[in-house]
Amino acid sequence: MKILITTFGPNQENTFAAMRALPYEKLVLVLSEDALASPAYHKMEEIEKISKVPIETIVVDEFDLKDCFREIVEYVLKLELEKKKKQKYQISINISGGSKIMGDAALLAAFQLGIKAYYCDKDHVINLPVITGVSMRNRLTDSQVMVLKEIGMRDTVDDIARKLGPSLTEDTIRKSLRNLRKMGVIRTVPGDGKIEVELTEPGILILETINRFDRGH
Amino acid sequence: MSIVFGTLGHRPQSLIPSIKATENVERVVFYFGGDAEAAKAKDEVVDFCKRLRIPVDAIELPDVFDLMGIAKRIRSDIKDWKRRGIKIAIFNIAGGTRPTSSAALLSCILEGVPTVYVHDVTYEEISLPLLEIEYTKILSHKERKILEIIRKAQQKKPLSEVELANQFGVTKATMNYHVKQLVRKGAITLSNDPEDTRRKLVRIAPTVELLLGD
Repeated sequence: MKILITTFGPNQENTFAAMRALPYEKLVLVLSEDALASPAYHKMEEIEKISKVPIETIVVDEFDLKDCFREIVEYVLKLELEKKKKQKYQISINISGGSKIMGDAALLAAFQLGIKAYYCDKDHVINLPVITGVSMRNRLTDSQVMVLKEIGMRDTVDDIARKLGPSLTEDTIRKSLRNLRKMGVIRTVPGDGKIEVELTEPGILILETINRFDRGH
Repeated sequence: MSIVFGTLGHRPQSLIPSIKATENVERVVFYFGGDAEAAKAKDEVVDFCKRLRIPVDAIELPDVFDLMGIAKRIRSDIKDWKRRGIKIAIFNIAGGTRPTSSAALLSCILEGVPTVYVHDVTYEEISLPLLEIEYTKILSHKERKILEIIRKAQQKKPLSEVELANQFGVTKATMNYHVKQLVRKGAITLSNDPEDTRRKLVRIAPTVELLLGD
């Protein structure tokens, strides 16, 4: 089944452009509570009733980029789970509808999930350069993910090495920490006589997203 | 030296908090354009930077709705600063038109630049969950080289899989494996050769041009 996820707001021109340009058998609208109650949404329901295409919604706080990102990721990972139960889905995301924040969150989610993304308006259908099938989880090695999960919010290198000792060598742990630091996921901070590592702000959301991936798989 | 990058619309407040919150800012580079209000906001940010004795590059965009044009410009500037060994401390994507903001985010994803958004109401700076690693690193070294060969060749005539294998110096079976992987990742497309339908021609997907950069 071809699923089109599109951001949606009071001005529906770009959403309509995506619906015209991209094939879909199910339409998923990312929208705010206000937009869900709007005549624009009811108009959309009426249109799809005629073509018998099911509509689903992802309701988000349109001013909160993190919330929009989390909700889209959660929805797609739920579909991925169903895919495992032999449902076949081809998912694409249009980022041009709704608010700027929604669009940026959808763009970020598409790249982090490795799904096709488009920016559609009345004159253009722009296919964005996502490497499909490669998620943010795939961009980290298993050792890096193990180390990241063990850090929690803050820990010393020695403690991480002790906790992961049976599974990873100290060299692997130190190498993983170095690479995670280079990628901006963790930083080192002076602790109580020892160097400690802690998650950066982006690192906290990266870990949260990885945990979602792992729950979904 | 560290630089703050940003996009600017009508509200200087969407960019100024990032300049204030970043340590040791030695330059500010921001993109603006559109109308008189955007020009006024530009003047305010430039004035703010001048007061703090921070050099500033205010770059006017010719078309604030041309997503791909803006993305190419921003990405090229980021690469330029990186080549000079200068660290980009942060890119604030909160201001500007929707295509400007999305183009900036796209460039940050591709170049692995730390990205922030400033909340519309609270002006709180929010870090986005991006890895500081170039996006093309998802592709293996071999895959990137194959894409370069295809891109170079298709300016004259697209290559077949066999020709590609010969140019790359691998067997047809090995190249077939790489081609399948790249098709799966959406980086290349296969089409029948109109002159010989038994041959499949390999082409770079248009979107990958931006991925590979200059």
